[in-house]
Amino acid sequence: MVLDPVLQNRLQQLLADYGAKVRALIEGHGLGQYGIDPADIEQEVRIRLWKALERDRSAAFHTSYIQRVVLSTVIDAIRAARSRPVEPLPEGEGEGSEAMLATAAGPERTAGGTQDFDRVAACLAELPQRRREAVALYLQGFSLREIGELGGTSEEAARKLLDRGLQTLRARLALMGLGELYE
Amino acid sequence: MNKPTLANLYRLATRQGSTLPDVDTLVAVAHGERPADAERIVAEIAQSALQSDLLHFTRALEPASDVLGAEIAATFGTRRAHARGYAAPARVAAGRWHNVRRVGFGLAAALIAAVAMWSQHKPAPALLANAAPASDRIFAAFDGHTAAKQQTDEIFNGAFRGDVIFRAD
Repeated sequence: MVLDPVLQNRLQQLLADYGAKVRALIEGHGLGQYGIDPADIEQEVRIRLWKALERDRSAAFHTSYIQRVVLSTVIDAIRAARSRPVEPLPEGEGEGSEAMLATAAGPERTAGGTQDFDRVAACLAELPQRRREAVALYLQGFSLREIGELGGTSEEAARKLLDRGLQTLRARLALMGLGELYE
Repeated sequence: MNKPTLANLYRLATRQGSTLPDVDTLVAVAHGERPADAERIVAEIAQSALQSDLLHFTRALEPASDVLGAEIAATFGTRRAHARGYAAPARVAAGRWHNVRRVGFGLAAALIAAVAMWSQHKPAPALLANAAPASDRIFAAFDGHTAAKQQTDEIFNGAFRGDVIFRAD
């Protein structure tokens, strides 16, 4: 299927602009921490969308379709990053290399971080299910409106669940000596 | 701010090892839909920084994706409009020919209707046969008895008088 040059240039420009936005969003949401390269994603998204356009020019490019293309590209890249073998370290670096790995693992891998999280998780587990879910979603960065949507309740109901859940969590963390997490 | 400390700890702890979400499900959730097994899906999202980040990302992607879809549609729509513009003269010519044919058909239909009406008002053959002897004077003149008796030929009449030039007296 051959597109006329004017149309082809226009579509390539649209995809280039969109690819740049996708890249900025990947960087802005910190998805690079999962081992993906925003530039690679940008390029792959443009290729996939272009192929989709070539396959079926009359296809309506709904918002959700475009989102699926991007999301599947990101997930494929994360899957590939997970299956990628860890590069061997140069020989003779001994303890220095181990220290570097320990640092790269992040605080959640450190003994203190793991211990703290285990205690936080124990406090969370004691909350009623709906409150626990509201608190967990809040800690993951969702707004009250989003928590309500995800929980199938109103924003007001989500706020009550969250307030009560956080109040209980704070009290239990204080009892465990982790009150500083709230200070 | 005390919340970020707890949130950072929670997010760091739930960052690794989470399962990769189903694309269609996550897009549906991003659009505010609640799948059949919503409770399990929401629980997974709540316990996974990766899935949460992907959901945030998918939602943030929506405006730009919306714009792209609209612009692609507009681009193809514009192209179709151009194609219609170029095709217009041919369609006008075809329309003219169509009008000529339409007028022709109209005239033919009017002619047929006129013939049909004329046929309906024309007397039936039986009536014509009865009326003919009385009305048709052409054939009435050939009625041997009446015509011969009433209008005798003056030339061959018995009162014929010869040419006076050749008369002896």
